[in-house]
Amino acid sequence: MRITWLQWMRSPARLGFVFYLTCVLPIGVALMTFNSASHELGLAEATFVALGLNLVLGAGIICREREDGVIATVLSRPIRRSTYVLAKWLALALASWAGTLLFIALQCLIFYFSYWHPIDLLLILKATAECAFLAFGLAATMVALSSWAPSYGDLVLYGVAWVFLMMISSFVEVLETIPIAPNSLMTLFRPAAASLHHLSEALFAILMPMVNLPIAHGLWLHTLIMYMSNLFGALLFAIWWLNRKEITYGG
Amino acid sequence: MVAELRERWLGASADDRTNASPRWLVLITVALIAARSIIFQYEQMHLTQPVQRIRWYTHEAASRAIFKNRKPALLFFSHGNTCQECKNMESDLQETAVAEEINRDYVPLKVIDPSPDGLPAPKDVENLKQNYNAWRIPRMVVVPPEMWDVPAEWLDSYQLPDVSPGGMFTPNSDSDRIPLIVKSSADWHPDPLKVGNVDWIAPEKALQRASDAKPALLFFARSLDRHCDVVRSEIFGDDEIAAVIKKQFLPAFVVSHQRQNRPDSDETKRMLARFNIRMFPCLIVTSPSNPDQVLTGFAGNKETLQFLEQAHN
Repeated sequence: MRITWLQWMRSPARLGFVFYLTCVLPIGVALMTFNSASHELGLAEATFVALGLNLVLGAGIICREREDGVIATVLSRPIRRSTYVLAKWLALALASWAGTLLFIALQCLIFYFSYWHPIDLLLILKATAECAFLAFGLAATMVALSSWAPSYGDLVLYGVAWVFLMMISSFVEVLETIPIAPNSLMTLFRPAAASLHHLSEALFAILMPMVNLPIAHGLWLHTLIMYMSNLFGALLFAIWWLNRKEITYGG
Repeated sequence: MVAELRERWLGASADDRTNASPRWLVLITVALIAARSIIFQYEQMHLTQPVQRIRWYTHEAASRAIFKNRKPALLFFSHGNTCQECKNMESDLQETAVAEEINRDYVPLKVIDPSPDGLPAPKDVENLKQNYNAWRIPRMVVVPPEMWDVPAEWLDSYQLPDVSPGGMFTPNSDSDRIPLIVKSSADWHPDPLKVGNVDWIAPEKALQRASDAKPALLFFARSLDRHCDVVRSEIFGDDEIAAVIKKQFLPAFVVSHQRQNRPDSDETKRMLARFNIRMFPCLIVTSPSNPDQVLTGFAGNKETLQFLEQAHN
């Protein structure tokens, strides 16, 4: 039975993957992306670290506890289920964000001591903020999936959703690319392509809740409302679904 | 009834129950989803027109301006108002700083392709799409003045700086990249305002009209070749060299696509074989009675000028 983070981290596979993401990857990326001519700082990869950490740390975050009965022990005390879900979300988001910050810090250190070149603070702040958006948004998605799926089904669901997204997108791409003669029956597919395009955008925003900074003028309100509605919606779904579940020992 | 619905959907009838959903969370979520729906509907009903800060040229005016001012063209391929992705991209381009840079350093030309609406695209639009590989729209392409209005086969797959929304799911994801790419395109063509005045003509014409007094100057370049780009930009961007070329030579430009494993046109193949071109970039001065003079690689402005003067004498 998994009870504490310390016990959870004793899994050699998980520990190895977290170590790889936060320590080995930055050095590898640094060696790959550093260009002595342009002095580019490889911060773009930080989003992949945030994604990887979220998936590794968040796999089974609620559903595994429901399965092995930990949640029943926790909820035997007068703790609100919403508090439990929000605490899980916050812990996952902060942990993955902290790992990403470690990655960014390592990148900056390697860069600085390699070239003795001043680092653009704005670039670092941008990467940090973008990773925070991704970490908190994706943590909400993972918590929502985990409250619903059994065992490690949240990870499976996440993968299946990506496959579904790819299928829709490729279909939309085909519909938008093929030449359509005027007044032919194929023109009827245009509205379908537009609807599927919106669907794929919405699904992508849930699976990869990113906010690219700086947000273009005129789009910041739309972007932020979309991001926040996804985040709060996912959290509310997780709480609502867990509230409806009957929690017992042994799942 | 309300209490029953609340218990059924929110899982709580009283705040002290541990399976109550936090009201603040419900309210915020509902408000955000409502706001999102309103914004979506508003966008669908009133497709917002971006503020027009860029001074778009017509095709004819663009051709005149490109040759007169020696500025690169900036082609923006769009489907017009019916394409939200195109509108988002144009909105990013119309940002004050970006628009100023575009107006200052480029000749902007908006190419509207109405084909998604079931309308046939005009012939000149089809030609531009074909020449600059703009099959995925929206797309932005920067064309240096030397490459403007040359035969389509010369341009085939020539590496031109371009940008299109890479993330098909997040059309705005490239918004912060656009100024960067515009800037890097300008860097690639260091200073568009100081690009000499070499009026390239077709190679056949140059060879036909070449005389001992005014020999043909053939510039053999290879696509995807940085050295060739540097020679084009640095050598032919030099006003002094451009003036000498204009006065004493008939300049012609031949582009090979060897590096892309794509076949060259027959005309290009003939030219490469005739002058036995093995290295790029390569400058050849040829006239009916004098032996050909050859300069390969990037020799520098001063050396190139000396070569041109010696070759002419």
